[in-house]
Amino acid sequence: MARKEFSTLTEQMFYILLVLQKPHHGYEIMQQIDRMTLGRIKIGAGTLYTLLARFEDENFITRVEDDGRKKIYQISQEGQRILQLEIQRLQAMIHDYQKEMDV
Amino acid sequence: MIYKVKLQTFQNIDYESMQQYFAVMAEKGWMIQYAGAFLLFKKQAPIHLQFYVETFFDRRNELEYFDVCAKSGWNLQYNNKKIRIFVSDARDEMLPLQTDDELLWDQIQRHVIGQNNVYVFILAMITFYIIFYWSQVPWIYSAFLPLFFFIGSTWVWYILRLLRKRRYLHHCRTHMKEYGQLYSSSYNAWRHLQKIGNILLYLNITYIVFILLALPYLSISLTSLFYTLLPIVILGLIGIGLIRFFKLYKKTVLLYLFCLCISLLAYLLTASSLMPLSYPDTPIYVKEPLLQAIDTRYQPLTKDVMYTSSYHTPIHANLIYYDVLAPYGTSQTASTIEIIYDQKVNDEEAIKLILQLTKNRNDVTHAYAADGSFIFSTGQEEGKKWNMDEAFLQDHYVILRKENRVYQIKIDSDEKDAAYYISQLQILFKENVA
Repeated sequence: MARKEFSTLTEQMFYILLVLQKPHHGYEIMQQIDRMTLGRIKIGAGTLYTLLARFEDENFITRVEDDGRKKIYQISQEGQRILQLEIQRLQAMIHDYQKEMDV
Repeated sequence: MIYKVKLQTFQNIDYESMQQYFAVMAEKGWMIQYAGAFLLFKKQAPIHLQFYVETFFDRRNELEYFDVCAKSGWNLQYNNKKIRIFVSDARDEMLPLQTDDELLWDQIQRHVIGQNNVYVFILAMITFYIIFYWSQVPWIYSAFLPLFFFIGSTWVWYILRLLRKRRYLHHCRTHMKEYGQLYSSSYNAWRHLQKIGNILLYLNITYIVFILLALPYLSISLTSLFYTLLPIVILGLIGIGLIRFFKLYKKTVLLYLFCLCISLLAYLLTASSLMPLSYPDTPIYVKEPLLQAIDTRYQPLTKDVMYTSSYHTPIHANLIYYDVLAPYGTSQTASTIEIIYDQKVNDEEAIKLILQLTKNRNDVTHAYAADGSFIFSTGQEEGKKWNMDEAFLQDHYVILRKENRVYQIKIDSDEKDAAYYISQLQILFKENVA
C-alpha cells in the first residue's frame, strides 16, 4: 500500500519531508515551504494535515514532541529512504533529459 | 435573534456548492450556524465572506489543525463529525485548505465508498421484515400501506442520492485521468431531483411524528407497537455492530445478502416460536386432518400477541388475534380471534378447538357458534338459528355454513366490552378450496 501510494512523491509531499529534516510543527512547515520555494509551492492546511497523518501511518515521520494542541514532527529513517528514492528518480529523469538533448 | 431554517439538500460531494451557497446567504445577511439534518442561519448584517467546506477529512489532530487553519486565515464556523465549515473575511482570494486534488480525490474515494451502507442496511432490514410479516398476515396489509409508502419513498430518496453520487464519482474519475483535477460540482438538475427526494423524506418524518402523536387516540396498543419495532431495532443494531466489527463497508453485495439472511432468520425464528402444534400428545395434532392452531394448554392466548401461521405451506390454518374497532355505535374496542382451518375437518373437531381456545380464559362467559348455538366450557348447547339479516341487526357477523365449514364465535366479557370472533376469511378459504 505504502509503496504504491508513495512510489513517487508530489511536490507537496517532497517539500514536507524536506522541511522535516529539522523538527517543526504544522504551521512552521507551511511557512518553511513558502520561504524555501519563494512562494512557488503553497500548501493548504487541510492538505498538510492529511499528508502528515498519512506519513505518520507509514512511519515516514515521527512525533518528537506532543503537548496535545501542538505536535512537532521530524523525518524518520524510512522517510529519508523515500526521499532519497525520489531524489534518485528526479536525477535519473534529468540525466535522461540531458543525454537525449545533448545538454 | 432571528434564525432561518433551510432544508438540507446537500450531500457531502456538494462541498463546493455549499461554499457558494453559504457565501450567498452571508451576502444576504444570514450566517450559517448549524449544518446537520437541516441548515440553520442566523440573521446578521450582510457581509462578504469566503467559505471553505470540508466533508472528507481525517479527524486526527483536529484541535491543532483548527489552530493552523485560523493562523492561515480560515476560522472555524461549524464542525461536526461529517462537516467542517471555515470562514474568512479576507477580501483577496484565500488559499484553499486542500491544495492537492489528487490527495482530495483519494480522500473522497476512501470516504464515499460504503458510506451509505449503514442506512441501506437499516432500510433493507425494515423492508425485508415488513415483506415477510406481510406475507404471513396478508389480510392486515391495509394497515401496512402507509408504511409501504414510507419505505418506498425512502428508497426513492436514497436511490436519487446514490445515483447523483455515482455520477459525481464518475465525472471526478474522468477529470482526474484527463486533467489531473477534480470535477467541480455545481447546482444541477440532479440536485433538484434530490430536493424532491428530500421533501419526500421530510414528509415521511412528519408522517411518523404525526402517527406517534396520534397513537394515544388510536386503537393501536403501544405495547404491540413496541414489540413490533423491537426486533427491527435489535437486528439493526446487531447488523451495524457486525458491519463495523468486520469492516464490511466495501462489500456491499455481501452486506445485502447478509441483510437477507438475517431477515430470513428472523422470519424463521418468529415462525418457529409460533408452532404450538409441535408439542407432543396434542389431541388435535394426532388426528387427521390437522388443525393448525394454538393449543392453549401449552401456549395460552395472550392479548396483543399476533399469532401467525404455522409451518405448513400452503397455509391450512391461522389464528390471529388483534384489536378491531367495536361495532358501530359503541366506543369500546373489541378484539378478534380468527381461525382458518382445513375445510375437511368435522364439526366435533371444530368444537373441540373452540373449547380449547376458550377454556383457559377468565373473561369468557359464553360464546356463539356460527349456527347460533351457544358454546360453554362444558360443551355446546342449541341456540337460536340466525339468518344473515338477523345477525346484522344483532351486530353479530354470522357466516352461514354451507359446504365450507365456517365458524364464528363471539365471546362476551363482563368487565369490558370485548368480543372475540372465530371466523373464516373468505378470500383465503377460496384459495384453499382451489
